[in-house]
Amino acid sequence: MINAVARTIILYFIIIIGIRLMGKRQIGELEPSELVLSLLIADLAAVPMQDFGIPLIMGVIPILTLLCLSTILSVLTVKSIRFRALLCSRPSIVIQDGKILTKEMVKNRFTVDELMEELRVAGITDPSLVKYAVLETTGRISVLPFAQERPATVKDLGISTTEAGLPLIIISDGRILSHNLKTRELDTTWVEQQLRAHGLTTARQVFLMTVDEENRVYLVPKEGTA
Amino acid sequence: MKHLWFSVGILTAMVLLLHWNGSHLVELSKPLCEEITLASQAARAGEWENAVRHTTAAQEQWETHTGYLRFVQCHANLEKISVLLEESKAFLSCRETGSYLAINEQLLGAIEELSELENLTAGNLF
Repeated sequence: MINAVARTIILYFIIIIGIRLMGKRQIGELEPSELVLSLLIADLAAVPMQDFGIPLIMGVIPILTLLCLSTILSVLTVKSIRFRALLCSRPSIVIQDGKILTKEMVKNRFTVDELMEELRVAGITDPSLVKYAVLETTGRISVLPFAQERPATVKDLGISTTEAGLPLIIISDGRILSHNLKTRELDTTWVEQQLRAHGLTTARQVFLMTVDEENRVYLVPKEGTA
Repeated sequence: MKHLWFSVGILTAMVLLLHWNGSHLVELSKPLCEEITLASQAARAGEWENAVRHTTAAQEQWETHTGYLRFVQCHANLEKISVLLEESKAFLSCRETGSYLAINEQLLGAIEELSELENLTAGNLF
């Protein structure tokens, strides 16, 4: 049974590395080819994990083949629009100017129930309020309401605000992230000053510390240290 | 583009290695099959000592290759051949010509199947 543990560990890391190489996507946003890849890899890995009569390489080779093919296809989809359309299809507009385009619905085999569900998820209950609803290649719907129906923005209200900027994590679970510190052009002396300002002495007492482009700090101490 | 070439490189390397593996299996199965064929011929001619010699040589050859084969072949297929070799030796020791020859035929079939499965053919694909 120790072989089961060893095989599982090996295959697990091979799959993790492979999925990491696939890029930054969530499961819900996979293209069809990527979804197929994920399902196949899971199945291929399970066989040598459970059957010790099958050499490990018989699981590794198909997985490696699939990952290489997936990478090749993804590079080709980036380079060629035609190939992308062939592999991933094109987005379809299913609502335009408040009207449901039934031809597109039928062409995509997309039911009214599914459309209404996606609209509700987007916070819209009336299709007539939608300027465009686009059925994406991932199967999700992107909804663009009419300008008059959109939530008001700060710009619409004529209010001026300052940009918040992107907060970077400086301390994560007690560890200082030097790379992010350099990105913000800060140093450990500044970190120590901030810690003292919050009544702390070391970075190990901090669960999370972020700083944005305006050098505004957000700090969460670890429980029991505040 | 480096991802593309890296993937193409890995795929190419895999295909070449697997092609080499297929050739290697054919090469290691040939002397094995020869020994078994010679053993069968010796048994038919009543030359039992020669039959024993060839069968023992076949088994020794097989044992030297099983280490590598366990990495690339299903263990059930390898164990089948190991069991057939043992049965062959058992029938040989009892001088049971008919059974011995039948087992040797099965052995030849199993060894040839092992190397044929690695070939890219329509039969193997479909």
